[in-house]
Amino acid sequence: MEPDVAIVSLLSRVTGLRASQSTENPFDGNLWRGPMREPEEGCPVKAVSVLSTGGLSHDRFLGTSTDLRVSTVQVRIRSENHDFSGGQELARACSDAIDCHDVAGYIDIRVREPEPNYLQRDDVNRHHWSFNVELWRTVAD
Amino acid sequence: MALTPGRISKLEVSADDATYTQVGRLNSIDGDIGYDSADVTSFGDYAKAQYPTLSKFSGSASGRYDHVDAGQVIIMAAIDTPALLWVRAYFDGTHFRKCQCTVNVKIGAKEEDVPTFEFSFESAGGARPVAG
Repeated sequence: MEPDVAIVSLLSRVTGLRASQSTENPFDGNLWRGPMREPEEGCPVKAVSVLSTGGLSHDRFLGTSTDLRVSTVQVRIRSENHDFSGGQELARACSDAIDCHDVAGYIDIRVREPEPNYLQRDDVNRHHWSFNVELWRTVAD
Repeated sequence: MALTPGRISKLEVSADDATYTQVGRLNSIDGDIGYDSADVTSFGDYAKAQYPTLSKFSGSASGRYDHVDAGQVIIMAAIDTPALLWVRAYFDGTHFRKCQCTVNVKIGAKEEDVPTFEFSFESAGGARPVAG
Protein backbone atom coordinates (compact mmCIF):
# COMPACT_ATOMS: atom_id res chain seq x y z
CA MET A 1 0.00 0.00 0.00
CA GLU A 2 1.53 3.31 -1.09
CA PRO A 3 1.95 6.09 1.50
CA ASP A 4 -0.87 8.34 0.31
CA VAL A 5 -3.22 5.35 0.11
CA ALA A 6 -2.28 4.35 3.67
CA ILE A 7 -3.06 7.85 4.95
CA VAL A 8 -6.40 7.97 3.15
CA SER A 9 -7.29 4.63 4.73
CA LEU A 10 -6.64 6.10 8.20
CA LEU A 11 -8.47 9.34 7.46
CA SER A 12 -11.53 7.57 6.11
CA ARG A 13 -12.31 6.71 9.75
CA VAL A 14 -12.71 10.40 10.64
CA THR A 15 -16.34 11.42 11.10
CA GLY A 16 -17.59 13.40 8.14
CA LEU A 17 -14.91 12.26 5.70
CA ARG A 18 -15.61 9.97 2.78
CA ALA A 19 -12.77 8.75 0.59
CA SER A 20 -13.04 9.44 -3.11
CA GLN A 21 -12.13 6.63 -5.45
CA SER A 22 -11.11 9.20 -8.01
CA THR A 23 -8.01 11.35 -7.88
CA GLU A 24 -9.50 13.79 -10.37
CA ASN A 25 -12.69 15.80 -10.42
CA PRO A 26 -15.49 14.84 -10.16
CA PHE A 27 -14.71 13.42 -6.71
CA ASP A 28 -17.17 11.03 -5.10
CA GLY A 29 -16.11 12.07 -1.60
CA ASN A 30 -14.49 14.90 0.31
CA LEU A 31 -11.20 13.07 0.95
CA TRP A 32 -8.92 12.44 -1.99
CA ARG A 33 -5.34 11.72 -3.04
CA GLY A 34 -3.55 14.51 -4.83
CA PRO A 35 -3.35 18.28 -4.50
CA MET A 36 -6.14 20.38 -2.98
CA ARG A 37 -8.64 21.48 -5.61
CA GLU A 38 -10.81 24.58 -5.65
CA PRO A 39 -14.57 24.30 -4.99
CA GLU A 40 -15.02 26.30 -8.18
CA GLU A 41 -13.93 23.10 -9.96
CA GLY A 42 -16.98 21.40 -8.49
CA CYS A 43 -15.40 19.56 -5.53
CA PRO A 44 -16.63 19.81 -1.90
CA VAL A 45 -15.72 22.93 0.09
CA LYS A 46 -15.00 21.17 3.37
CA ALA A 47 -12.39 18.73 2.18
CA VAL A 48 -9.11 16.97 2.92
CA SER A 49 -6.41 16.17 0.38
CA VAL A 50 -3.47 13.80 0.78
CA LEU A 51 -0.38 14.42 -1.33
CA SER A 52 2.85 12.41 -1.46
CA THR A 53 5.77 14.82 -1.04
CA GLY A 54 8.84 12.63 -1.37
CA GLY A 55 10.76 11.75 1.74
CA LEU A 56 14.16 11.27 3.25
CA SER A 57 17.08 9.52 1.55
CA HIS A 58 16.91 5.74 1.55
CA ASP A 59 18.58 3.74 4.29
CA ARG A 60 19.81 0.92 2.04
CA PHE A 61 20.71 -2.47 3.51
CA LEU A 62 24.01 -4.04 2.47
CA GLY A 63 24.01 -6.97 0.11
CA THR A 64 20.27 -6.87 -0.51
CA SER A 65 17.81 -5.00 -2.65
CA THR A 66 15.80 -3.78 0.32
CA ASP A 67 15.94 -0.48 2.12
CA LEU A 68 14.39 1.35 5.02
CA ARG A 69 12.37 4.14 3.47
CA VAL A 70 10.83 7.19 5.11
CA SER A 71 8.18 8.66 2.82
CA THR A 72 6.43 11.94 3.53
CA VAL A 73 2.86 12.91 2.87
CA GLN A 74 1.20 16.31 3.29
CA VAL A 75 -2.39 16.51 4.47
CA ARG A 76 -4.34 19.67 3.68
CA ILE A 77 -7.65 20.59 5.28
CA ARG A 78 -10.13 23.21 4.12
CA SER A 79 -13.12 24.44 6.13
CA GLU A 80 -16.56 25.50 5.03
CA ASN A 81 -16.99 29.24 4.48
CA HIS A 82 -16.85 31.17 7.79
CA ASP A 83 -16.19 28.03 9.85
CA PHE A 84 -12.79 28.35 11.48
CA SER A 85 -13.61 26.21 14.51
CA GLY A 86 -15.18 23.44 12.42
CA GLY A 87 -12.12 23.35 10.18
CA GLN A 88 -9.73 23.34 13.10
CA GLU A 89 -11.65 20.53 14.73
CA LEU A 90 -11.43 18.53 11.51
CA ALA A 91 -7.69 19.24 11.15
CA ARG A 92 -7.03 18.03 14.69
CA ALA A 93 -9.19 14.96 14.18
CA CYS A 94 -7.23 14.13 11.03
CA SER A 95 -3.90 14.47 12.84
CA ASP A 96 -5.11 12.30 15.73
CA ALA A 97 -6.40 9.65 13.32
CA ILE A 98 -2.94 9.26 11.77
CA ASP A 99 -0.29 9.78 14.44
CA CYS A 100 1.16 6.48 15.71
CA HIS A 101 -1.64 4.37 14.23
CA ASP A 102 -0.80 1.04 12.66
CA VAL A 103 -1.16 0.24 8.99
CA ALA A 104 -0.14 -3.18 7.66
CA GLY A 105 3.25 -3.03 5.96
CA TYR A 106 4.46 0.05 7.84
CA ILE A 107 6.88 0.14 10.77
CA ASP A 108 5.79 3.54 12.00
CA ILE A 109 3.53 6.40 10.96
CA ARG A 110 4.00 9.71 12.71
CA VAL A 111 2.75 13.25 12.32
CA ARG A 112 5.66 15.71 12.35
CA GLU A 113 3.86 18.67 13.92
CA PRO A 114 2.13 18.63 17.31
CA GLU A 115 -0.64 20.86 15.89
CA PRO A 116 -1.85 21.38 12.31
CA ASN A 117 -0.32 24.48 10.69
CA TYR A 118 -2.80 27.24 9.97
CA LEU A 119 -2.08 28.41 6.43
CA GLN A 120 -4.54 31.11 5.47
CA ARG A 121 -8.03 32.50 5.20
CA ASP A 122 -8.87 32.75 1.52
CA ASP A 123 -10.92 35.35 -0.34
CA VAL A 124 -14.26 33.75 0.55
CA ASN A 125 -13.45 33.07 4.21
CA ARG A 126 -12.51 29.43 3.93
CA HIS A 127 -9.72 28.43 6.31
CA HIS A 128 -6.82 26.17 5.42
CA TRP A 129 -4.52 23.94 7.50
CA SER A 130 -1.82 21.42 6.71
CA PHE A 131 0.43 18.95 8.44
CA ASN A 132 3.09 16.49 7.33
CA VAL A 133 3.38 12.79 7.98
CA GLU A 134 6.36 10.39 7.95
CA LEU A 135 5.74 6.78 6.98
CA TRP A 136 8.49 4.23 7.77
CA ARG A 137 8.65 0.92 5.93
CA THR A 138 11.05 -1.52 4.36
CA VAL A 139 10.81 -1.78 0.59
CA ALA A 140 12.27 -4.44 -1.70
CA ASP A 141 13.24 -3.04 -5.11
CA MET B 1 39.24 -0.17 -12.13
CA ALA B 2 37.92 -2.52 -9.50
CA LEU B 3 36.00 -0.16 -7.29
CA THR B 4 32.62 -1.43 -6.21
CA PRO B 5 29.56 0.19 -4.64
CA GLY B 6 29.34 -0.31 -0.90
CA ARG B 7 25.78 -1.57 -1.16
CA ILE B 8 26.98 -4.95 -2.47
CA SER B 9 29.12 -5.57 0.61
CA LYS B 10 27.82 -8.22 2.94
CA LEU B 11 28.51 -10.14 6.10
CA GLU B 12 27.77 -13.82 6.62
CA VAL B 13 27.86 -16.02 9.70
CA SER B 14 28.06 -19.75 10.24
CA ALA B 15 28.14 -22.09 13.19
CA ASP B 16 30.13 -24.77 11.33
CA ASP B 17 32.08 -23.05 8.52
CA ALA B 18 30.01 -25.05 6.05
CA THR B 19 26.68 -23.27 5.70
CA TYR B 20 26.79 -19.49 5.81
CA THR B 21 23.84 -17.15 6.29
CA GLN B 22 23.86 -13.48 5.36
CA VAL B 23 23.19 -11.02 8.16
CA GLY B 24 20.39 -8.77 6.99
CA ARG B 25 19.37 -5.19 7.79
CA LEU B 26 22.99 -3.98 7.94
CA ASN B 27 24.07 -0.53 6.76
CA SER B 28 27.82 -0.71 7.40
CA ILE B 29 30.67 -3.16 7.95
CA ASP B 30 34.14 -2.43 9.32
CA GLY B 31 37.10 -4.80 9.49
CA ASP B 32 40.46 -4.60 11.23
CA ILE B 33 42.92 -6.97 9.60
CA GLY B 34 46.52 -7.33 10.68
CA TYR B 35 48.82 -8.97 13.20
CA ASP B 36 50.41 -8.42 16.57
CA SER B 37 54.11 -7.78 16.73
CA ALA B 38 57.03 -8.64 18.98
CA ASP B 39 59.60 -5.96 19.69
CA VAL B 40 63.09 -7.41 19.16
CA THR B 41 65.00 -4.16 19.33
CA SER B 42 68.36 -4.54 21.05
CA PHE B 43 69.97 -2.10 23.38
CA GLY B 44 72.15 0.20 21.33
CA ASP B 45 70.10 -0.17 18.11
CA TYR B 46 69.32 3.07 16.29
CA ALA B 47 65.90 1.93 15.00
CA LYS B 48 63.03 -0.15 16.28
CA ALA B 49 62.91 -3.80 15.18
CA GLN B 50 59.72 -5.88 15.26
CA TYR B 51 58.54 -9.29 14.08
CA PRO B 52 55.00 -10.08 13.07
CA THR B 53 53.40 -12.62 15.37
CA LEU B 54 49.72 -13.49 15.81
CA SER B 55 47.25 -12.79 13.03
CA LYS B 56 44.27 -10.63 13.92
CA PHE B 57 40.83 -10.25 12.40
CA SER B 58 38.17 -8.19 14.07
CA GLY B 59 35.44 -5.84 13.05
CA SER B 60 31.94 -4.60 13.49
CA ALA B 61 28.72 -4.10 11.62
CA SER B 62 25.70 -1.94 12.28
CA GLY B 63 22.17 -1.70 11.03
CA ARG B 64 18.63 -2.33 12.18
CA TYR B 65 17.48 -4.91 14.69
CA ASP B 66 15.25 -7.54 13.11
CA HIS B 67 14.55 -10.43 15.44
CA VAL B 68 13.45 -12.72 12.61
CA ASP B 69 16.38 -12.04 10.27
CA ALA B 70 18.12 -15.42 9.83
CA GLY B 71 21.64 -13.99 10.24
CA GLN B 72 20.80 -12.01 13.35
CA VAL B 73 19.08 -15.08 14.80
CA ILE B 74 22.30 -17.11 14.37
CA ILE B 75 24.35 -14.40 16.09
CA MET B 76 21.97 -14.19 19.03
CA ALA B 77 21.94 -18.00 19.31
CA ALA B 78 25.74 -18.04 19.47
CA ILE B 79 25.65 -15.48 22.27
CA ASP B 80 22.99 -17.40 24.17
CA THR B 81 24.84 -20.74 23.90
CA PRO B 82 27.59 -19.27 24.19
CA ALA B 83 29.67 -20.39 21.21
CA LEU B 84 32.23 -19.09 18.74
CA LEU B 85 30.89 -18.15 15.32
CA TRP B 86 32.44 -18.13 11.86
CA VAL B 87 32.27 -14.66 10.35
CA ARG B 88 32.81 -14.10 6.62
CA ALA B 89 33.04 -10.49 5.46
CA TYR B 90 32.72 -9.49 1.81
CA PHE B 91 33.82 -5.88 1.65
CA ASP B 92 33.56 -5.70 -2.15
CA GLY B 93 30.76 -8.23 -2.52
CA THR B 94 33.04 -10.87 -4.09
CA HIS B 95 36.20 -11.38 -2.02
CA PHE B 96 36.02 -12.37 1.60
CA ARG B 97 37.94 -12.81 4.80
CA LYS B 98 36.68 -15.23 7.35
CA CYS B 99 37.64 -16.48 10.78
CA GLN B 100 36.12 -18.14 13.81
CA CYS B 101 35.29 -15.35 16.21
CA THR B 102 33.84 -14.27 19.49
CA VAL B 103 30.80 -12.13 18.92
CA ASN B 104 29.04 -9.38 20.81
CA VAL B 105 25.89 -7.45 20.07
CA LYS B 106 24.53 -4.10 21.14
CA ILE B 107 20.86 -3.36 20.49
CA GLY B 108 19.42 0.10 20.92
CA ALA B 109 16.02 1.70 20.70
CA LYS B 110 14.93 5.32 20.51
CA GLU B 111 11.43 6.68 20.38
CA GLU B 112 11.99 8.43 17.05
CA ASP B 113 13.87 5.68 15.25
CA VAL B 114 13.80 2.01 14.32
CA PRO B 115 15.79 -0.13 16.82
CA THR B 116 19.46 -0.47 15.93
CA PHE B 117 21.71 -3.53 15.84
CA GLU B 118 25.48 -3.36 16.34
CA PHE B 119 27.56 -6.48 15.97
CA SER B 120 31.25 -6.84 16.79
CA PHE B 121 33.54 -9.82 16.26
CA GLU B 122 37.13 -10.81 16.99
CA SER B 123 39.13 -13.80 15.87
CA ALA B 124 39.31 -16.47 18.56
CA GLY B 125 39.38 -19.91 17.02
CA GLY B 126 43.14 -20.35 17.09
CA ALA B 127 43.45 -20.49 13.30
CA ARG B 128 44.62 -17.71 11.01
CA PRO B 129 41.97 -15.78 9.08
CA VAL B 130 41.33 -17.13 5.59
CA ALA B 131 41.04 -14.92 2.52
CA GLY B 132 39.09 -15.94 -0.52
